[in-house]
Amino acid sequence: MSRFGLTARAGMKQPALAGVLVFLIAVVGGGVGVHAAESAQQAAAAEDLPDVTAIIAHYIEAVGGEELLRSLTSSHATGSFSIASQGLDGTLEVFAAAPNKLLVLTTIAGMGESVTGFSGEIGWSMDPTMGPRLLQGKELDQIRDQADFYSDLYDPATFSVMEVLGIEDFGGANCYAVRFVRLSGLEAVEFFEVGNGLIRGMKNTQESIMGSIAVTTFLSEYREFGGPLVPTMIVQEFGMGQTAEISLVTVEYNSVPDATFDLPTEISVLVGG
Amino acid sequence: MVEILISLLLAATLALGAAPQRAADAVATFDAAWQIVNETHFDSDFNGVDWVALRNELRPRAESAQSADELREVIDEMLGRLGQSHFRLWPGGAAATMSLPAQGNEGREAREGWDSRGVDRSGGVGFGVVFLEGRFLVRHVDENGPAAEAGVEPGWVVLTPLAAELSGEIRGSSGELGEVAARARAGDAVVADLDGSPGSDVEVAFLDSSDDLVKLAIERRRPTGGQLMKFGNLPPLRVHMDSRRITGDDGETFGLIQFNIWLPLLAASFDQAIEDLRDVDGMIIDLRGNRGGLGAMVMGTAGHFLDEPVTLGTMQMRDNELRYVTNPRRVNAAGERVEPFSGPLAILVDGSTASTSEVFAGGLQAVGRARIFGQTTMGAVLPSLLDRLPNGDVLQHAIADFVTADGRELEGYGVIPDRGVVLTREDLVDGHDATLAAAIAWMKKESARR
Repeated sequence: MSRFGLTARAGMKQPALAGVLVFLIAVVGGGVGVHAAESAQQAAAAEDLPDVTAIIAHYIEAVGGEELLRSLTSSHATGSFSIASQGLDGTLEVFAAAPNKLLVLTTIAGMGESVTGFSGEIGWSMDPTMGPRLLQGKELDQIRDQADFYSDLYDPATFSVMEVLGIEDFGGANCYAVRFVRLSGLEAVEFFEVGNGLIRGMKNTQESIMGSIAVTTFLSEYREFGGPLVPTMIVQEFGMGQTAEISLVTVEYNSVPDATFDLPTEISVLVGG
Repeated sequence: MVEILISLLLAATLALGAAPQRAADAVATFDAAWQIVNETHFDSDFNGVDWVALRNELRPRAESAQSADELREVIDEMLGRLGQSHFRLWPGGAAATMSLPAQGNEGREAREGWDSRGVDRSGGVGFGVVFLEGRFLVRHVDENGPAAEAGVEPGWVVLTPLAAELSGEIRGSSGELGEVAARARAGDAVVADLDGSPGSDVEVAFLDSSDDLVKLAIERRRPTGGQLMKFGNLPPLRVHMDSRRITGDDGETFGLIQFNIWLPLLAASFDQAIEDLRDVDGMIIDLRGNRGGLGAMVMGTAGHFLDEPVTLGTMQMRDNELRYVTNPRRVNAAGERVEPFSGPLAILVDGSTASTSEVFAGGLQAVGRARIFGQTTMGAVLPSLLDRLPNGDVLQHAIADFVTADGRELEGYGVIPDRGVVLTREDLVDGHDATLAAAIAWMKKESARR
């Protein structure tokens, strides 16, 4: 899960970060962070909290409203990222389409291009260190969840748990901490700013072929690109003192050809057994 | 263009090295280095070192450091007390200009083009050494390099003062844990001691193969050949990969792939080499002198030899574990269905095989997929990060231990070959590669048996 919401997802979906993180695990050995579920220990008294439905409604309204979100059928975002402490930087491109297609390309100096995709059925990845492969297990569950184009509408049918944990400071803002558990079993705590309703970030576990990594994500600098509000600055902390900073530059809507999500030849061969 | 950039970086290094060390900068850098290790070392006991007490002991020296070099000595001492691999300080400018030897797989660890005092040491002599029979011998001579032109040959004894000094130290520490790594690093130092300004000469004394004293003037040169690659905070590295087909006496064919470092931009070349050699009767991966690189590359590379996902080993951090899981390579770059290579696999190692190469060799040995030939590896295998410090230097620090799938720790112990091969001076002089010969002999038997 660990979504940025449809608005965020329209521009900058979690799988892009997953690609970067998997790469970093490779390089640096991954990291450890605060477990998401432990983060809401400073919760305010439950009786003072709004219903989760109200928090989500506030959020949807804050980014542009349900009608605007449902008017989108695809998105294409571009940006850059850096892990300054390790001297790494690169570019990224994210294509997404309803109902659940996704393609994330990252190019890292000195490494080359990595691609991760979900075709609606098949989750896959290709990068220079691993070669082509089909995603399985938790990795597949995660990309399937992330590919849900309308997940920012928080359809209750896609969650087994949606609960407000409390109010806490997150990223310098007073936020409602809300725990979500997807039907896949993957979970996250997302932080909705009390005042404006926007998501300020989340804590979750990022899956990779090497294992799981706890990640804290901070979202900021919301702006619109002819659609809903999108966070254009995404900062991820994933333990070991490592931080990835992602900057979103452009977002376009409803212009992604379906063929964008066709499986590459190498992946088709793997699917064919 | 690359050379211009390097020159600029070298100039930056010079400035860095020559500049006086401001106390505030020194303390900030010292504190940052201490804190990074404090937060990320995989062992909360710091390998038995009282980490807080060590900070309190050394911090006053950092405060009074009068130069960048003095500060580095203090941080180096702090890191050295841990007694583990992959704790190292790379001078800032030098981190961007270090290079590997131009030729040969018995290369040294990345060495600095300029030293921390801003002296140009980017010119090398073009040979590598190995500690053998109590002395440092010429292990290989770079083809067409300055040592080759001067007439240096493998098997000659190096007679520099530093070689004599370090030989004595090594002989005194025989049998200690980490001895292999100490020998390799001493070899690095012996060669690096000869580096200097390109175009300058260095006179080196040797005992030739007849034990006659030979004194040669060798012109130092910048390394050439290979491909210069840069990745993150790693310095630019000169990367080599070669592959060829060896034909046996009875018509068998064996593939030989050798490369000097694990970097992502080499992956396509490795994939192509496998493709070109897919029909051979056996495969040999030569990791002698390969000091490591990007750890994750072992997963895709080993996948060329394993038909199912297999865990080669585990990175054990303070609060987490991550596994090196192979990806079976069932499709080639042309999009054709293939099967991972299933024939005999031999991996060649020596005392300067380290880090990612040890993960690869030790991992495949542990799961029974490869037979290892050669000499015990360095035992320097800890996965690490390279963080930039406030003064621009780069701190390399281990963040995990590595344990093979069968539960063996490699740090300090190395990969012990299934078939140990004693390296001799006679073989060096004769140009006889006993390790390769042993691997080929085994493969001939294996291929016949199959």
